[in-house]
Formats: sequence, C-alpha cells, structure tokens
Amino acid sequence: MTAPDIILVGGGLANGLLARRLRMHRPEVTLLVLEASDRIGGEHTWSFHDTDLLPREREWIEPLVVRHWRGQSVRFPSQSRVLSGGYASITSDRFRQVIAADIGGDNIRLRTPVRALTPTTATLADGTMLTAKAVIDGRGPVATPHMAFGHQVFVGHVFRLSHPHGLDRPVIMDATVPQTDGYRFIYLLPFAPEVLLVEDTGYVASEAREKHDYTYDYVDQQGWEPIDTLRSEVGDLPITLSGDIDAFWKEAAGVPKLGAAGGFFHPTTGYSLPDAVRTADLIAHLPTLDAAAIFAALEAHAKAQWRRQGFYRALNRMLFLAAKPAGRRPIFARFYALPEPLIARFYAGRSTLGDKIRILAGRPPIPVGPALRALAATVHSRSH
Amino acid sequence: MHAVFIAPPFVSHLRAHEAVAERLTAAGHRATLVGIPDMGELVRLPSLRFIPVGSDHYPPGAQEAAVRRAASPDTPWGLLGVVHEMRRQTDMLCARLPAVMRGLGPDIVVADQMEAAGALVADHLGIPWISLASALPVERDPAVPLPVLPFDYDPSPRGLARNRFAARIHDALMGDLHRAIRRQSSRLGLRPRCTLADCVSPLATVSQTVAAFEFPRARPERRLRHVGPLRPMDDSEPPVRLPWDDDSPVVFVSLGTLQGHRAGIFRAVAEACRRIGARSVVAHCGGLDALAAADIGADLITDFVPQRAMLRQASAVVTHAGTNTVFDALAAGVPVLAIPIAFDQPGAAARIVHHGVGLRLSKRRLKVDAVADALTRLIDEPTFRDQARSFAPEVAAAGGAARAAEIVLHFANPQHRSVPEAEVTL
Ligand SMILES: Cc1cc2nc3c(=O)[nH]c(=O)nc-3n(C[C@H](O)[C@H](O)[C@H](O)COP(=O)(O)OP(=O)(O)OC[C@H]3O[C@@H](n4cnc5c(N)ncnc54)[C@H](O)[C@@H]3O)c2cc1C
Repeated sequence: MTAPDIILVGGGLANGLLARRLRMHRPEVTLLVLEASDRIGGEHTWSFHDTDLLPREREWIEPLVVRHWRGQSVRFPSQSRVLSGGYASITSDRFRQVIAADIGGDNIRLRTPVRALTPTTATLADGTMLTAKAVIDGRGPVATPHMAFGHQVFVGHVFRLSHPHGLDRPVIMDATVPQTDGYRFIYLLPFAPEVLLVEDTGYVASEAREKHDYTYDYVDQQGWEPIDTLRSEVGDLPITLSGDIDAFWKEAAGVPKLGAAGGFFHPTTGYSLPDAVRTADLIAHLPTLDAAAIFAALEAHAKAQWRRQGFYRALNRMLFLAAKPAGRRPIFARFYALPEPLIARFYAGRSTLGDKIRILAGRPPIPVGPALRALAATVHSRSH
Repeated sequence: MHAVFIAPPFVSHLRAHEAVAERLTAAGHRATLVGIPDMGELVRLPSLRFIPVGSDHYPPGAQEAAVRRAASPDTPWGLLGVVHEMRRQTDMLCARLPAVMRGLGPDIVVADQMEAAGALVADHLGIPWISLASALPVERDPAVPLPVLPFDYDPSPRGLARNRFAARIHDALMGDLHRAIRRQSSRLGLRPRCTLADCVSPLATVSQTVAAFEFPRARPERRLRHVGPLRPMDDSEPPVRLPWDDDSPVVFVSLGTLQGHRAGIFRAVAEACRRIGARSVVAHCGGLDALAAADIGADLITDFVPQRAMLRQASAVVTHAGTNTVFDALAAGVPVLAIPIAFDQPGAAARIVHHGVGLRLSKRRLKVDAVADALTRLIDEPTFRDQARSFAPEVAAAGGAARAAEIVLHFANPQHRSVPEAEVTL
C-alpha cells in the first residue's frame, strides 16, 4: 500500500468529521483511519443546540442528524422551564454509516491500536510503522499533567417503554433528583413515542468515583416501564478547571491533536461536536496539508480559544472547588432562570461581558471567600 | 468495578448469580444483569441492576411459555423445544448484547454456562469473562459422562467408549443450538465454537459443586473452581413450624422451581411416607393450584418452604436432584432419594448413588412400594446419613458466594489476566 497523505489515529467524532470534510473539499487527499476498537464512532449520542452552529456548518453534518427537536426543557425543584432553542442529536450508528461511506471501508483499519505517534509516523502494536505527510491524534480524552479536570460522568440507556412517555422535547437537565455526590441530573432524549434515552449525569470531582446508575430509579418514579434496552453508553468527560495551554501543546511535540485529545470541547458542558465541526472546517481549508501546517493552525486556534474561555474555566472552579456538592444545584438553577439568548450564547461559548456579569451577579450562589480562591487557582505545569 | 451477569431466565440460575452479585455490591462494586424483559420480575436483589433486552422477540409475558416448555424436557419433543428455546435466546442475545454491553463497559462478565451468548459477546468485545456453572459444569472429560446422562462413573475403556458414544448422540440432539453457536462465533469474528463446553472461559469456571462430589476427571481442570452452593448473605432461615407434634421422621419433598407440577410423583411419595409412618412436607414451588395441592395427600404442602431450615429438620429428602436441592441436602447432611427428570439431574443422581449419600428411582414406573422401600433404607440405614454428613464440612468450607466474588474480582483486575492459569493462586 502506498503511504496515505493523512493518517487519522482514532475513528472518533473529531477525526470522523474531519475525514468527511476533507472528502468534500480535498477529494485528492488520501486518508487512512486507524481505530483501536472493532468499530468507528464508539457508542455515543452526540447532541448540539441549533445556535451552536452556523447554517453553513450545520449543512454539511445534516446527514448525520437522526433527530431534531423544537425546544428543550430544564427542571429544578424551584422552577421548570421550556426553552425555545432547537436541539439535535447524532448517534454512533448513523455516524458509522455516513462516515464509513465517506472514507471508504478500505481506508479504515479496525482493531488497530496505535502505540506511538510522531507528526509523520504511527507505530502499531506489532511494531509496524506507517508514515504519512501528517498524522493526526484524535484518540479522545487523555491524561495530561498540564491540565486539571473535574469530571462529568454519565450512564445512559436507550429504552423502549411499554407505553408512550409523553415527552415531545428533550429534557436536557432534570435536576429534581437527589443530589448525592456532586451536581446530578437526568438527561432525556425522546427519540420516538416509546423510545427514550435516559442518562444519569453527574458533575463530580473525582474520576475514581464509581459510576452509579440512577436511571432505573428515575424511570420507576416517572411510572415508565422499560421493556427493552436498545443500547447503553457510559462516559467520563473532562471539565477543564485550569491548565497551562502552552505546555499542553508543547507536550504534543508537533503532533496535531484533534477533538478531546486537543482540548477542543466546551469547558463547562463538555460538548465537543461544535468544536469538531469547526476544526474540521479549519483544516479542510488550509492551503497545505502537512503536519507542520495542521499543527500550527490547531495550536493557534486552541490558544485563541483558551484565552476566550477563561470565564468558563473560572465558573468550573467555582462549581467544583468552591461550592460544596450540595451547593452546586442552585448555581445551575439560577443560570437557567436567565434570559434565553444569554443561555444560547453560553452553550455556544460566546458569552458577552454583560452575560458573564449577569451569570456571576446577584446573590452570590457560593461564599465569596472560596469563590475568589477558586477563581485564582491555577495548576502549574510540572514540566518546567 | 462493574460486573455484568448473563444468565438464562430460570430462577435457580438467577439465584446463584444474585448471590455472587450481592457479595460484589456489598463490597461497593456494581453489578448488572442483562436478559429478556420477563427476567426483571424474577430479580430479588435490589442492588442488582436489571437491563431488559429483546422485547421484539420476547415481549413481556413470553417467558411463561418458555418455562412451560422447559418443564417437560424429559420427552423427546419437549427436549427439542428446550433446545430450540435456548437457540432462540442465544441468537437474540448475540445480536442485541453488543450495543448494550459496549455501552455498559463492564470490567468483567459473569456468563452462565447454559447461555453461550454471555461468553461469545464478552469475547467479541475483548472483555474478560468467567463462567458460572449453576448446574453441573459443562466442561467435558473422557472419564466423566455428560451431566445429562444417568451413567455411573466408569473409567474403564468400555466406560470411556460408552461416554464417547453418548456424547455424540447428545450433540446430535443439541444440533440446533450448536449450529447457532457456530454461526454466532463466526459472525462475531471469533474462533469456531460449537458446544456449550467450547464457550467456557479460559480464565475460570465458578461452579456450585464441591470437588469431592464430582466424578474424578481424567484430565484435571485447574480452571474449574468448586466453590459450593451460591447462597444469599443473610441465609438465616427460622425453623419451620410443623403443624403436628410427634417425632415421626420428616421427609422433605421438592422437585425444584421448574418441575413442581408433577403431581403424580408427589402423590406417590406422600403415599409412601404414610405407609412407613413418616411425615411428608411437599414444596411444589407454585407448580400446583390449591385444588391439585390438596389432592396430593401430604402432611404439609405449600408452594415454598425455607428449604435449608426444612432440611435441618428432615430425615430424608426426595428431589429431582437439581443442584440447589442436592447441595442444600449435603450441607445439612440429609440422605437423598433422587428422582431425576431432565437436564443435569441424571448426572447429579448418578453422583448421589456413587457416593452413597442416597438412592435413585426412575420417574417412570415410580411405584409407591419402591419409594417406601428406598425411604425406609435412607432413614434406617445409618451409612447414607453418615456419607451425607461427611460432605457437610466440605460444602461449608468451599467458600460459596464470597469465594466466587473473590474470583470475579481477581480476574476483573487487568493485571491478573495474563497470568498463566496454573500460577493463579487465589
Ligand atoms: C456517551 C457520550 C455522550 C456525549 N454526548 C455529547 C453530546 O451530546 N454533545 C457533544 O458535543 N459532546 C458529547 N460528548 C462529548 C464528546 O463529543 C465526545 O467525547 C467525543 O466523542 C469526543 O470526540 P473525539 O473524536 O475527541 O474522541 P472519541 O469520539 O472518543 O474517539 C476517539 C477514538 O479513538 C480511538 N482510540 C483511542 N486510543 C487509540 C489508539 N491508541 N489507537 C487507535 N485508536 C484509538 C477510540 O477507540 C475512539 O474510537 C459525549 C461523550 C460521550 C462519551
């Protein structure tokens, strides 16, 4: 086999979208995807808010969308609210169909974990070294000494119920559930009248925590009776608290990092789909597609984004470090009482200064002392 | 640590899995059971998460028909029905489990030996699994007749030839299931497998048996771990209050959870007890309605009785020789009259006779006289009771569910997976 132009390490969301975009804009570029597991795309439901993407961005991922809803709701003990913003979901199954057709089965190697990579080589478990003009690391979330993370952990099941659930829009947070060891909420996506994703989500400090699964208790309380489970998913998303962005990219030693591996996700919600769309566009429009050019573009993009996202990281520190687990829910409840455009801008990571002031203002949700300490906290790179 | 359990939807198997799951969850681990929707009704352990799959083929209520089929596995068409049912469920689970199991991301799968899908899907996804033998283990050995056979232990060349021949007939009868296992293993990208024995874990089988009860193997199976009966942590059962106060010997009669509808057997045993001046206590496990139960003529008849407490008060037990009842009897040191019906019961009955802990009668031609004679011997000749009692310490020391949970945890730890099995000391 002749060397491909680009090797994509990891057949996940970010690399998959990049492959699709390259096929559209640079059909001459040859690709090879190396995926450790037995399938690309894993077992996820990736969702996004309509306002997260521009119409032209939305357009090229449209075939991946399995369901779109008008509106969404949130529930807190103090208030429930219907938000008018639209919401859409992509499932791994659909992702596999569309992306595999884009890339072509011959260019995807499954059960092929990559052991080591450099900007132009990928070394497989058996020592084989593959070369390309660029090798892109899209292996998902990684441990790094240069970032401090909290965790958003979740367990979810797509159930078929014995009777219709009666929901016609997603419930992106039902936080009326007991707040055990962090901020917990249930996330509901009504795919069909009797088919529902129920996900138990928690913002927790420690990754070591076992993922408990309260979905069944919740389903019981709602009076729903699951008679089938179509699939399940578990996740542990990093929530960025602080970090040293320069050291993080230096550590990459010139290997372009995409998706969660490159820190391309919303610092507070952990959503990475909008970022994956934008980085795919960014790369697909570069004049040259070698490792150095891709690395430089991604690094510059990441650093600019990092500077813009300081507010969200500070908010995360307040959530994780300052507020006691039981004190986290009121912060979210208050947030969801704010005007809709502000919430939409928050989702999209485009909060204005006025938004930021409003999010933090009012009755301080947490004691001022710990909050200030949290806002000031940083991790120091261990590498210097 | 998160363990996923895959078991066939039968109470006796489920209880064994629950006992292991209970130990794990009590130690702060997670346990999930995946099975057809109806299985949810059977789950008793609150800390065991149940995940239903396959409602398109097994709508709620479908299991009743399957249990009815499994209840007459002793007729040729009944047996083929059971095999067909196993095949259907294995096919369904092989299709549906991967998406759920992948999403659950367990550290280990505990796969019942009677449901091949647990092993096939775990292997397919690269998740380590261990096998659980709720019934007699399926691991084959030239010297050991298949558990479904009534043969006694005979390691002579003649005996070995007999075992081989019988295994071929057995495999022909199981053809439907074996073809499905072969098809699914190829579909899931695994090396070819055919029988349930081909699907056992390379790491370990946790078996409800005790080693001394088994027939000696020609090829010792180091990975087979005889932990004895898998029972709930709180196993304290108060003594059963019997509605009479004489000290006639008590005979406990149970045909397990699948065979409780066999009124003919109950009636013959009750009659035999009357003849020899013993009191009969019959547990039909819901297999009989009130009218039919009243017609048995037992001194006491109920659907369920706390079995281990009852056995402590019994002089003999009459049973279909299901693993659960047999080991409860051995733990209590009570001699056994085995009337095997199907599955591994003929094999268990052969072991009972072999070890002198009881006698065996055929369910066909079951005569009241023969039952009366057998019970008289079991109650009057001390060797049976002595032999049965000699097993009690071994059953007590086998470790049970606590040990089973240790084994699960051991192999759930990634560092222990590559250790050659001969070096594993637990
Ligand atoms: C269950 C779940 C639900 C989520 N829901 C949303 C959502 O609603 N909206 C949203 O925007 N975000 C969501 N996220 C967050 C985010 O979108 C995902 O984490 C996203 O999949 C990250 O994309 P990625 O491409 O970086 O990594 P992944 O999609 O995780 O892909 C990484 C791939 O690399 C492979 N790999 C790893 N190591 C190697 C190796 N050494 N060699 C070869 N291959 C390797 C993996 O097998 C995997 O296929 C969710 C995450 C999860 C886990």
